[in-house]
Amino acid sequence: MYLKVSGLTKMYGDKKVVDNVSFEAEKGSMTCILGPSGSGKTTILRCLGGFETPELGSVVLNGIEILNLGPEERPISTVFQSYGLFPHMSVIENVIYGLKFKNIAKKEAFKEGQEILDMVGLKGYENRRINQLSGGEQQRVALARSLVVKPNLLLLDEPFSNLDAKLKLVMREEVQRIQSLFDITTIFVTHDQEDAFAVADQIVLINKGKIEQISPPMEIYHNPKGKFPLQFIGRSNIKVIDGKIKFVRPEAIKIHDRLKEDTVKGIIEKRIFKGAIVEYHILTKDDKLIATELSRDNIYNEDDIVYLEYKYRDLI
Amino acid sequence: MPNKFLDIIDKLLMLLILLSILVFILYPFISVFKTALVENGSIELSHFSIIKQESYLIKNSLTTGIYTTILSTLFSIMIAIYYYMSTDRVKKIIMGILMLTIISPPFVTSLSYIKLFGKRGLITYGILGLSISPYGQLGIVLMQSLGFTSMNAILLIGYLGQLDKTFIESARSLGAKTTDIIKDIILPLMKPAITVVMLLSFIRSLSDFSTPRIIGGAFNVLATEAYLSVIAKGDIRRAATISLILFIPAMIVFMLYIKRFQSLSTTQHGTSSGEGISVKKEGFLYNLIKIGAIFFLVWILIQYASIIMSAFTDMYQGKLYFTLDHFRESKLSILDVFPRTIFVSFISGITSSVIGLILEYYAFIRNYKSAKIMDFIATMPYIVPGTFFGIGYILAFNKPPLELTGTLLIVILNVTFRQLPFASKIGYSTLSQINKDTINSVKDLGGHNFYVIKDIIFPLSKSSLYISFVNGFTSTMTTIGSIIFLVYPQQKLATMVMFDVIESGKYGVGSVIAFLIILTCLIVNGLYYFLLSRKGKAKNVS
Ligand SMILES: Nc1ncnc2c1ncn2[C@@H]1O[C@H](COP(=O)(O)OP(=O)(O)OP(=O)(O)O)[C@@H](O)[C@H]1O
Ligand SMILES: [Mg+2]
Repeated sequence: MYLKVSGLTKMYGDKKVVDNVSFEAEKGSMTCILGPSGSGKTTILRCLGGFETPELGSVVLNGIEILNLGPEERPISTVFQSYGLFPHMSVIENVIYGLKFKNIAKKEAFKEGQEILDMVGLKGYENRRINQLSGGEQQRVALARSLVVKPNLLLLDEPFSNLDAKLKLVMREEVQRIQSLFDITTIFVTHDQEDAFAVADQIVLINKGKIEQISPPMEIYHNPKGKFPLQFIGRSNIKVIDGKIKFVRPEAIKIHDRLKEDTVKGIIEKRIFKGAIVEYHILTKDDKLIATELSRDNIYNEDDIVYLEYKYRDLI
Repeated sequence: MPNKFLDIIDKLLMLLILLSILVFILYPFISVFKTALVENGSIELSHFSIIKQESYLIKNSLTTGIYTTILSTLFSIMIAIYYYMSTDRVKKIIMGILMLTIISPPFVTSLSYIKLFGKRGLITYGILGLSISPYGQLGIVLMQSLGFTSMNAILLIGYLGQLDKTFIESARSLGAKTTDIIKDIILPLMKPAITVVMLLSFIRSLSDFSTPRIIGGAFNVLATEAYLSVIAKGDIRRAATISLILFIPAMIVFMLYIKRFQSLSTTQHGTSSGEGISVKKEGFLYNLIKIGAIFFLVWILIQYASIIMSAFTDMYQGKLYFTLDHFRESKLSILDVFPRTIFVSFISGITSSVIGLILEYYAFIRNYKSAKIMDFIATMPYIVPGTFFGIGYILAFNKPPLELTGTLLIVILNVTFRQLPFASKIGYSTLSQINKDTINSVKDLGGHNFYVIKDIIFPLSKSSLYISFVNGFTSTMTTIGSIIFLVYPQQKLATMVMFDVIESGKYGVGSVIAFLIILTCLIVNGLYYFLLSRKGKAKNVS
């Protein structure tokens, strides 16, 4: 494996903020660390970047143990949540700053910087000041600045949290494009599962500093392992039968307007229109279910009688 | 209370504040201008001929200012960066040492300088066997630098504390070593603050007369000349002219950099330490800075140690011995002086804090234009030479209807309005933190503006009023420039007694007074931190 994190543990006082975290990543892959606020995501990233010293664990990158190296010695580059762009330097000066420490001549550095600005879509922005850039442009500069030093590992902390909803979608695709263009091993942190689903090759789900599940996005959605992944990822109707947890996703419930085989009768108690989808709260004989459907021309009304086709699945 | 009555109180309060600023800040200013520029109803510039006749004074002032600026800026940058990169414990120690100079009279270090490096200095004579005269420009530059560096460093530290730490972490992540980080990131980002610090040092050096007076020997500068014009020659016109000459560069600088001054003077009080930055403490530049900073801090410590030592010891046949003689000797001169000084400091601390807050309330919550203009006028005493402000008071209040010269009131008014720039800045930063909706909801509930002040503004500003008070108290305890002309011999304040005894060579007694001034300020400041930490603990429990 290209990156191997094992047994990473970080304490603040006597609180274990990162608790025995282990995961691996292939070269060129995109790993997403997903978890609720305060679960320790940033702390994991900071341990990898060298800004925090973990009490225990090892991080092997490209065959080299890096935990005893300082941030400036690690072949890792971090894009911080607030980007950390230098306000007293122009865009190009920001971008080529890291090349200064690779003994690259100024002229050559400028050329490389220009190329990379080109690739992130910022041609012609070289001499702008940082405060003359929009949020999305700043993020591109920060990305370019990190990529130019050709790190073995790129770390992104909540890359989309400072962007508005529209721009976030644009930048999500941009980051994905740039990542595969450079074929760079990337770890990014988010508390937004949609981001994780959209770009990750694998999701590392953590809660209270502990890993709950490591899986590709589809796998983690369809086969949550344990209660926390089930509750945290997506929505589900959960039921305990004979002491066993069972669940069914809202979109897995088929709604019919007339009686069919293997259906259960229900009444629509509440309807929430959400644009692309409609959410129904349905009362059956022994369940209270949430079901979703794509919007159509005529959707069900409250108090309509419907017939539901669904099956509870076991939680593994 | 009926609203109509409250309206009147509200209006009266504002009028009172505005009027007081006009009378006690603007009017003295104008008086200096008038005295210097106008004679028999027409403009008369002949007094400015001293620029030509005694051009050496200007040269002396300028060169001293430049040297002091360079030295104190350099040292303060080193201390600020060293502080920024240190652990919390070291930070506390550094801040403690810097505070020492803040809470002592400006010329106190000159006293210990003579004791240590003078003709019979403990170090030059006692250890090295040399007998050099400490008097002259070098002494002035060194002592001014020593005094200004602390203030500068505290400003810079406050500024650095606000910098986003991700700048530094980003640089590290890109491969920058400690030297690169200081050179490429920290120093360039500090530039605006460094500019302000340089300008402040220069202006302060120009207007400082106490250090050159004590340690300058035959080396005179403009500020001492202004002082001597009043004290020795009784020529107040000449003094006003010189003060005006000193005031002009200060005013220019102030106008150009008013924005930066404002942002800096508010950061200065929130030296929030937060988490330290993690940078490896290594590299040539870091070590250079560390050595410079430690050298300076140790130097301060030695100077202060020598003050305490000379308060408690004396020389007999070349040997030091412990004695309380100096205390006994000073008893006469300080017995009534100290209570009076504390009284004046106390009143001015409270009054300036309250006026500052109310002024800012009318200027920025109620948005009165006239109050905003007053707010600008209220910042002027920050930048003018103390002597200018003092001479202004003599000129303004020596005849009816406001004949105040010779009273203790004029002294109190003078120091109160001299502290107003600080007080109003603190008031402003407090008010800007109070949620506008909180204020609106009082009005929404039918509360009169008067209740906004009473029930919202004052309670929420309590802690900053206290900061402002401590600040004003300390400044008044240690000030000399603006009041030296105002105080009559029978109502001297501590700094002036100290100045007198040092001038007449009684260094032991001078040390005792210095020691007591520092002790008083230490207690008041300490009390503040004590209350603050107790409040903090109480919060943690609940
Ligand atoms: N310097 C510190 N000292 C003490 N506790 C800390 C420190 N930094 C973080 N913590 C605590 O560690 C826990 C994890 O913090 P972390 O910043 O890693 O969370 P996160 O998952 O990134 O959360 P968010 O999504 O809100 O950014 C939190 O409970 C936080 O309060
Ligand atoms: Mg975080």
